[in-house]
Amino acid sequence: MKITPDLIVLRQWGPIGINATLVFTWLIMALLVIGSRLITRRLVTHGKMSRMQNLLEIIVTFIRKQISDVGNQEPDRFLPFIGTLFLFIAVSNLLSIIPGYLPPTGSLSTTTALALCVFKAVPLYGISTQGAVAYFKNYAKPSIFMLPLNVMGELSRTLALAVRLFGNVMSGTMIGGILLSVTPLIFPVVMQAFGLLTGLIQAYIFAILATVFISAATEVQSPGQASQSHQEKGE
Amino acid sequence: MLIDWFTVSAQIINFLILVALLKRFLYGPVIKAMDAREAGIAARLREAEEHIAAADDEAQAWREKNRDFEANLAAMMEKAEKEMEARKGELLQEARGEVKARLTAWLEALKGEKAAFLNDVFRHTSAAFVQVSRSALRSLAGVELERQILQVFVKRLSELPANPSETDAAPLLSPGSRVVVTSSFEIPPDLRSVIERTCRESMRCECRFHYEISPALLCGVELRTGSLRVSWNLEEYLRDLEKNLDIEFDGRFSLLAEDTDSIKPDRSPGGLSRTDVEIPAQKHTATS
Repeated sequence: MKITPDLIVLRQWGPIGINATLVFTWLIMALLVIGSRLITRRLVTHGKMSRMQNLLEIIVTFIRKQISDVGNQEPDRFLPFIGTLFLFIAVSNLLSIIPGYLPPTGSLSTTTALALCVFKAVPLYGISTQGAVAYFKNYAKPSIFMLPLNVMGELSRTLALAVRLFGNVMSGTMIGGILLSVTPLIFPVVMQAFGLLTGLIQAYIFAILATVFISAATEVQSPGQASQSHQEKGE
Repeated sequence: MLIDWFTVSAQIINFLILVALLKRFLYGPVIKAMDAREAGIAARLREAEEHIAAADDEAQAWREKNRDFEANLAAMMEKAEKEMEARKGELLQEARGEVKARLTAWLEALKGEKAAFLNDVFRHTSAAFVQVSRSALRSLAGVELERQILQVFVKRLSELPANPSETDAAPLLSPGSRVVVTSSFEIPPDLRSVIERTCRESMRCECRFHYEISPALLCGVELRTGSLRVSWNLEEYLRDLEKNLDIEFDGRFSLLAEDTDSIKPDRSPGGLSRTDVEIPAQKHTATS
């Protein structure tokens, strides 16, 4: 039993190998892009809309609302990044109901890639909002002695993001496989259905955590908060 | 090793490509469509609010018009009732005048017909009376009506007063006066001589006698000279009959005229007025 789809290599050219993770990722990308294109090319702004347009609008509205609620900021700036994270992980996990399919999120390489994207996106959004100096000053707050701890916290939360998603998805797949060999009837089906819920929740958690990290990095202090901060420094 | 760094790099690239593609084909169009729909809904809501405001203004204007109308309704009704009463009076007056005029014209026509009728009655009655009298005398008494009339006429002449007053007898006493004797029948010669002799004896003068026949003189004889006229005929009797008939007709007509004067308007329950006038049908007198 393969613990990760990275181990299923379809083609290998030296250090470059096409494995199942990449293939299924492309499959998911094609599904999302082509499906979106097919639906959004016939969008209507007046009158009766199609069910698929309605579904897309519900999803986009839901994501925007979550970003807005969690980050307390204008959501459209973060929507492509956070929304793509959620949709990619959710679709990747939900398709695991199909026999023979291996979710790319069950690969630590994929979750690491996604966590690294978040790891890079946080300072990018923070610097673009506050400026580089103001952003990097946050690592030295409340005092310079907190700098190593803050850097370690940044790295550890990125690692936690990657391992959490990988562990949950991989464990779900592993449990399904083990149960299939022990009790081949009924129980694996229930666990698969439960795995769908778990996969969707993992997608939600990953997107929400990314939103929290980015929001924390892009949060701009109001004048009142700034003066309060200066007073604290004076004391 | 669970992490394949080539796969990690490839997945980072894949993810960034996916972000760009979904931004291009999903988020952009969907957000644009939702914004357009929200703008359309907002525009329709604004338009609806404007329409509601316009409708409220119009309703308010109509309510004010209704209030004005209700306030003026009593005055308008009173004015209309006054105009209606005045118009009703005019129409009633016109109807009364027209009825009276038509009744007057009818009475005038009736009077003309009455006169014609009485004339016919007089003419036919006199002819019939003479004919009946002549036949009865001849059958019952064996005498001629005309001869008897002449004998009575002569007797009346002889009974004329011998000394008449100045105004009546003076022109007759002159000798040679012309005396016209008019009769409705031919006077036989023997009776002519009796008339002339009796006249001379009564008037004590010589006169010139002239005889005429006039059918208008109803079965009688008339003697005229100057202002003196001695007549003996049936006309007076028949005139009495005609006068009695005339009085009877006049009595009926006066009753009818009183009836027309008592015409009164009658107010019906519906408010309209009608006049109980019955105009009698014109009577056509049959003339023979």
